[in-house]
Amino acid sequence: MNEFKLLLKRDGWIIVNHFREIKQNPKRLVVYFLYLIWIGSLVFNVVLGNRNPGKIHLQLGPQIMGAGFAGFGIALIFYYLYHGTKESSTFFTMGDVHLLFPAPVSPKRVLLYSMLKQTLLYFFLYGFVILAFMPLMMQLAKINLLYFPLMYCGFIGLLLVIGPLNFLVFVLGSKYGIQLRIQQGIQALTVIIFIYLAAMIISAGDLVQGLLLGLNAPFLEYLPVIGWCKAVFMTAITGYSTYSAIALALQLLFIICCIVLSYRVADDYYEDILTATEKRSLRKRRKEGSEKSRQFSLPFSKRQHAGVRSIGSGPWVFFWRSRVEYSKNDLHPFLGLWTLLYLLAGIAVGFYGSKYAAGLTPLYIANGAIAYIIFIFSATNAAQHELTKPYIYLIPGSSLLKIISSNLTDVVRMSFNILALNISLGILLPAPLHVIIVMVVFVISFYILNLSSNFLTRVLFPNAVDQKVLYPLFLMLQILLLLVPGIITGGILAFIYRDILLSCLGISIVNIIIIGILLLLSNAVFARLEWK
Amino acid sequence: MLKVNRLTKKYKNVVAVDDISFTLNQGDIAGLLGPNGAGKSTTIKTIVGLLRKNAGAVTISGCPSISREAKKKFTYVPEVPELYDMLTVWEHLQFIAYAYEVSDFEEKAERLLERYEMWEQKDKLAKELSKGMKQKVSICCSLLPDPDLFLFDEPMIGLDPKSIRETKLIFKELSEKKKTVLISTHLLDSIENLCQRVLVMKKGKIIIDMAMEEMKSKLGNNELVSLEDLFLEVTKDE
Repeated sequence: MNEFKLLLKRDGWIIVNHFREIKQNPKRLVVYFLYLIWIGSLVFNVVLGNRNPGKIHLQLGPQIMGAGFAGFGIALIFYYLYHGTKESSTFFTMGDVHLLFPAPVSPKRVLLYSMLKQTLLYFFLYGFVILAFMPLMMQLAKINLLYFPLMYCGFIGLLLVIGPLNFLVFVLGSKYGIQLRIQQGIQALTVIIFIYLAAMIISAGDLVQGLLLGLNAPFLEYLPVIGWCKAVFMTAITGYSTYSAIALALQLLFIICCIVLSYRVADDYYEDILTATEKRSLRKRRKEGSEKSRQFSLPFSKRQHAGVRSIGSGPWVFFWRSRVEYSKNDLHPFLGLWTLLYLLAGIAVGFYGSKYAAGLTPLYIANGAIAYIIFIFSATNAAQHELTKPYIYLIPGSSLLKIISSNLTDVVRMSFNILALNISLGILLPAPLHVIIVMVVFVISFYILNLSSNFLTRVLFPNAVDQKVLYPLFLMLQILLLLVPGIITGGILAFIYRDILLSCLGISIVNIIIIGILLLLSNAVFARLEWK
Repeated sequence: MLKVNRLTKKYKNVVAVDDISFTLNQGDIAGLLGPNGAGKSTTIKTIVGLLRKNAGAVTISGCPSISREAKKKFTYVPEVPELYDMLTVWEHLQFIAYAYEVSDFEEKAERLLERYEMWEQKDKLAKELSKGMKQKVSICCSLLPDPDLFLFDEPMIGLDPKSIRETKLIFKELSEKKKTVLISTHLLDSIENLCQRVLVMKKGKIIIDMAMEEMKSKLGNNELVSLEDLFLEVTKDE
């Protein structure tokens, strides 16, 4: 059978099986329904925002968006070009590796089909990102919705080119042994861009002005991929010109060229994509909760041995284990790259805050944003990872100690990070010591609240399918049940006393009370947990 | 049938397979043995074409092993079976039948699934199967095209006792049908009375390549000497 026919048949079966699965387990529709509501609300917001001209558009909105897009495009393309000299991207699954690759099929045709399929899939899939950013973009600038398809293509084009380009760079690099030369070329281009931006900043005499000028320079729009995509993207803001159509055509042509060239040069690529395919499979397993997410680690900090002394026995072994893991993958068991990033963020926000005499507002905004992000995104953590392994159920000891022990390292690390952020902010703004202490407690209370409530998920939704399918719903419930008491208290305090600090203190106290209740109930909840 | 000539495979600076050569003729049933990390799986993956060789040549019936012609002549069972999550058991067999151009495969596929007690699971999705069941599907997929050469990498890991016995029976049937089989395994007793030939690898090299009888006679034809004893004897560190 022809390869294309074979692969089309396989994908047809897969689509049909997805529908069958939904029919057998209609609960799955809940998640699709939630996504639809989300997208619907975004589209509704966009349409409503467009009809309502009373928006406050920033004077520099279009420039900010143009510079943001160019900066994002440069970072993305250069990262993936460099990444391509070390590791290929993949268009395959481990099922392909074990069933399709050993079969008598043409590797070239399999590659072509898989690349085209992924491109088509991503064309629609990545649309969520631009829809999610639409409300923010509409606040920044007036968007002509007539040209929204062009804006969409400009953004998606940038993302679609990554996979084929990365693969092509890897194949060419390994086939002709020119990885080092490509790396040097990318490094040289990066240096040129940095010099250019530095020159623009110096000539403008201001960091923000310089960056806006540098990244919005007209010549940038003629640069391959990044410039073309930017020109197409900005059509909805700056208006249509003939170049918009030319850039769109060039962008499309570039993607086609990458795919065709990959098809031409790749004949023995099976080993090249193996690592990336295995990693993708691992990521999938992590999403399903059977593996822990890889920590953000420095390549030079990987150590095979970590001399971490144990403190205590029984449940405290989880505290020891997490310290060993962090010792091997980061600078220190309690301090890491994130601490430096928080410190830098604090310095940057503090510097600009003090420059514009914004008082303590930047400190409150930074801490509020981080508390929100931490609560939403710290779903995968040490305790959840431990719950997927048998040891937490088998090792004797109280469940309260087990929960504390398995989360302690993460809490200490996060405390150091938040401390680094607030100390730098506090020095630069400047802020009194008691404000810094309250803000650290405020953010950490959200983090611990999430950590100490996650094991409830397993009790409320013991079925693995339920956990996966109803996760967004559970997250909403979690937010309502755990965040609302604190927010109401904070709101009342802010209303009565008109004091943000007091409001944060109130929220922290309520959060600590809820954490205490959750920990007190841990024995009862833990008894209902099952290891799956 | 299978000719491996001075094959070398390196991972960066580590030589996983170091200049090995061996030939399997039609009807040979050979066991590829060796301690963990000896290079057995790498050897098989390089033969299959999943890994690129650094030096040497691998041919199947005279054709390079990665050529389409060669691929028609062998099937492969990986150590860890990875299937398409969203395909059913039956669809996997259909997929393999189309890929290898097996005509009238239904009856044969049904027979294979029944032998491995998987017929009732034929409409189950791969993601709903246990590890052992996935292994059974993987074995059925490799048997369906009925090629001349079979490459098995730890085929019995995760199988229940009945399936292990069935797999051994299948190996015997393949031997009778003059098919060539290369089996990499740690379950030495499972291939003891089956393999005519043993290849033992250690640190990327083949340290023993001889007929089972010859190997036994070297150790005094003692009936109490098992393949396990022979293996431990030849692989023990100096």
